[in-house]
Amino acid sequence: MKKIASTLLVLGLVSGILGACGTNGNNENSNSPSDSSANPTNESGTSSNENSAPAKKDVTLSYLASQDWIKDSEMKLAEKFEEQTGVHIDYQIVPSDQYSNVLKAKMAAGEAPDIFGGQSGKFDLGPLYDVENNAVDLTNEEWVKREDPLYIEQATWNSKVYALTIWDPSSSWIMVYNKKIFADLGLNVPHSYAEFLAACEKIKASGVTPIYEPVSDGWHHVLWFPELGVRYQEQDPGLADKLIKNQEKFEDAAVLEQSLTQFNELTQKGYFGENALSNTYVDTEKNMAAGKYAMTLYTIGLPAQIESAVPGSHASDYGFFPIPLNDNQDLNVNPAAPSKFISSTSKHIEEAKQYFAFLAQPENMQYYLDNEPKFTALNFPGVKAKFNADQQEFFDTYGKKTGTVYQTAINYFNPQWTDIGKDMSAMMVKQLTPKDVLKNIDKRREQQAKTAKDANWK
Amino acid sequence: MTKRMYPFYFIAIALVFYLVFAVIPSLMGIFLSFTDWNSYSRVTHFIGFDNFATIFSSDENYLHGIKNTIVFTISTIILKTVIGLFLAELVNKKIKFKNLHRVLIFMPAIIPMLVVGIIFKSIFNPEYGLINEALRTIGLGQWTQQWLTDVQWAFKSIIAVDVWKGTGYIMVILLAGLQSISHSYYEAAEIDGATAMMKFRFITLPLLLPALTVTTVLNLLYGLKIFDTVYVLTNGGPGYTTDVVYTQVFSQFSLGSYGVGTALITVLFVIMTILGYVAIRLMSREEYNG
Amino acid sequence: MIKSIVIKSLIQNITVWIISLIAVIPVLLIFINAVKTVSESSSMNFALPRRIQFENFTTVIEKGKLSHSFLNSLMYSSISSFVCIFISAMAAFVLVRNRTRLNRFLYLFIIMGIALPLNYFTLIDVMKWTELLNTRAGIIVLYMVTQIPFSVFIIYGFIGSLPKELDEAGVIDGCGPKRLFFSVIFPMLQPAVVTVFILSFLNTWNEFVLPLYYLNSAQKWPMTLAVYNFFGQFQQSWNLVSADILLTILPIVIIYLLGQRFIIAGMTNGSVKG
Repeated sequence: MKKIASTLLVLGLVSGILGACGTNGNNENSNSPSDSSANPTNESGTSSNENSAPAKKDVTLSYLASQDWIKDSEMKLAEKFEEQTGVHIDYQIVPSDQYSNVLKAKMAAGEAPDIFGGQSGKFDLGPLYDVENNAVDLTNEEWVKREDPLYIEQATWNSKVYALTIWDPSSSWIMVYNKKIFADLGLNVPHSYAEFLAACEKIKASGVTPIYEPVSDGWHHVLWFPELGVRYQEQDPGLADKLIKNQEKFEDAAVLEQSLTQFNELTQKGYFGENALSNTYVDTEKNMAAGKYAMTLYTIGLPAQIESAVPGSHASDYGFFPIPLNDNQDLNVNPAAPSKFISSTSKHIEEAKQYFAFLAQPENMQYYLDNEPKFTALNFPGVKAKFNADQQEFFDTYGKKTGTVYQTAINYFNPQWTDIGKDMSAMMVKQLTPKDVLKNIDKRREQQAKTAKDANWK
Repeated sequence: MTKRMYPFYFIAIALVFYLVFAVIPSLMGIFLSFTDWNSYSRVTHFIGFDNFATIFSSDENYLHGIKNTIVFTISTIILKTVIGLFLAELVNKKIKFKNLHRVLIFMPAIIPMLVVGIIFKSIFNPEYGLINEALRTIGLGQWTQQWLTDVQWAFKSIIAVDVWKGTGYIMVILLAGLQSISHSYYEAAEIDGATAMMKFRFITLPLLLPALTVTTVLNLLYGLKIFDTVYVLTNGGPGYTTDVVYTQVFSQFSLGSYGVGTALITVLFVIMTILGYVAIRLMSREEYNG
Repeated sequence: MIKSIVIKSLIQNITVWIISLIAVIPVLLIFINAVKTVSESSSMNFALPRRIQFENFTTVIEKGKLSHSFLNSLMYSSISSFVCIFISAMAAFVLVRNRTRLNRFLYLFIIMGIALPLNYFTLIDVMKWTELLNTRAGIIVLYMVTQIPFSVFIIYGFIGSLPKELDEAGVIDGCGPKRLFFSVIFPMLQPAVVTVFILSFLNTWNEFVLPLYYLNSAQKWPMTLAVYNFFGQFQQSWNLVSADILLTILPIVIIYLLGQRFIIAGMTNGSVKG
């Protein structure tokens, strides 16, 4: 007993010295700033990866990402990658409503994981992730030349590329509806907001909840607002420019208030059902297949997902139309998507680059797409897309006129996504008005612009 | 002899750890709450009381968070004490399986809050959660609620979960207090023809005062620091309805305004230091008397 | 008269059963749903499973990184609690026995820590300076520090009840301060020490905010965070989530059942009688 006691005491004293005096002995931490390897203009050893036979090494790359950003097919590819190179990818999945908190905290501490996920966006990479300090410059990687330039633009900050985006270019947020419910009630696809309201009313009267809206995730219900960027541009040309230059406030833009007011109207009329605030995004397939809901805001891949998730359901039972707020009839496109960054503080930058190069190989891309039911195409040319008749028809009908969504088109917007989510939830429970929501957006934009020393905000 | 047998370094080890990892961060925090410390720039400037002005301005939501924290603290103190006392009395009586019940009632205290959050999110689910399903089964469908997402109910549900988890702990402390009261008082009172109510009012309550002080202090300190229960159940939602000080602190974290976040902690620090000082004085006095 | 006593006792027994049931219902819920299939568990209720799915547990152990995180939790909780008790007991011993003005102030100063709100922002900087950020040692030190004030408080009260003659006898036998403390005093503290150990072990085992912000590798995550991670990935499979939760809380429930006597007795001694 005495021996144990004194051993423990010594242990306590040792860590006490460590704690108090901060001797540099302990090297378990991955935090030592490795300035040389973090140097962003590192041109060697990038394209040579595939040529030299990679020796197996015992390296683990930590990879922090939000829920739903890492697809199963990527995990399988990571296993293959480990077989080939010995580099293990350690996925750390954080629930989506907490992701930005956790990542921010880790970055503030200069201790980001080797690879981190993040939404790309040409205005956001600096303010949101401070990529110049936190991420590795990937401009000279081979895959940059192959990736869709629209996407590369969104992953670029001060003319350097910082992220690899592998995402579905056809994955705009649109309305997915249950054809059977529509047919039973004699409804057609609505072409205006008024028609949409009438359809919702009829559906609700039949005992079915018109729209499945998972508010509890904190981000999904925000989509209704900025995704309409294409329509705002049509209704009020030049608005986006004025907002970017701070010549106009969100608060004063009538078209923005219009869409929020209409969203709120859908809420207050009960078209999202009673449980909207506790609905979860991951339950979308289940609930849509059960026929309890007639529509939901989702991507074009949803029907295929439903078919694979729920036995006995068919992808062909679902059709599409654009978000109908503000009488929108155009297709919204968002070339900003969940992307992969390499931390500048990582000790294994080369291995991480190697992993990116591996994922970007054409045959791996094809594997990725073929095994991911949510995706129908990829933002790399040469990967064979898998559109079905319904999807093709949708793109033929609405794809003629497209525009960029607001979270990508407007600066200082995307970083406050979750805050807008909170504001919109507060609006749904009648604590804020649409005008209040817009005012709060202006307030946060101003705060960010000022700290970023933006000349348009004084 | 005292100098030699009771050396200062015995205290110093614990003290140094405590200073470095608890006191110094707090003092730094007080200093930084007067600056514009944020995640966007690497230099900080002294800005005086601006952060505090922000916190106490009526345009912002912080006062709401402070108010919720106080509501939470007061209601959990009352509920946990009243229910805890009732339970302590109950398991102190001649009931069967006395020990088993004590063990079971204390059990929620040892379940991790994160797990409690996950379980109760399922139990409170309006569509297929246990509570609403049970209500529908016994024909009380009209009583079903959106427990965690209705503005009227969300904060009450949080308080309920916290009371569920914390009452067993309070019960055990009060039970100990009850058991330390000598039976002779009650016997004497019975001879004088005192009713149960009178015995409780004139014997139990005054003699239980030390234990009640302890539980109140513990509940008070716990309540003001509340974070995890709210975080795991609603994270402040719906909207900002259930925000408390610490959930707001963490949202400042994610917004990158560390200055405001740390100023919020400073406000809490001042309140807690005053209350904590009073409370510890109280507890120490009890200790010398008891 | 007798009849009314019987009825009264019946009511009391029924009430206490109902309350105990409320206290354990969530745990029972987890228990039952952990052995169901995905579809059976899609609404968490008390319907019994058609067939008991033990394979849920093997799935969970594989996918949930449970064995790793179990060892982590065990290490964090036991080392931090052990060290905390030793240094707290040493401090409390001297604080009780040598009540100078300074020491009385230090005692109040330390137990004020029970009330002190942790500053997560600046703590990151301190962790960086001490090179403890992202290390196992760092998280152990933090847990230890958060438990020090309460431990000192309880042990202080307990040492006060030990007669000072013990020390004098020790001195006559020629003990130095270390021997006096470790071979005479510390063994006498056993009841208080066990209580403090169990309480701080449970607190540490259940905590999740510190590792979430101060550890960046899933390899180092404790069980609570493993559950969090698991829930993030398998939110739809309530049966697996339940199985994961069950395996996470099992160790603490066992420790609790084994040690409940000490918890209840110790809390009585420390916090009420002082």
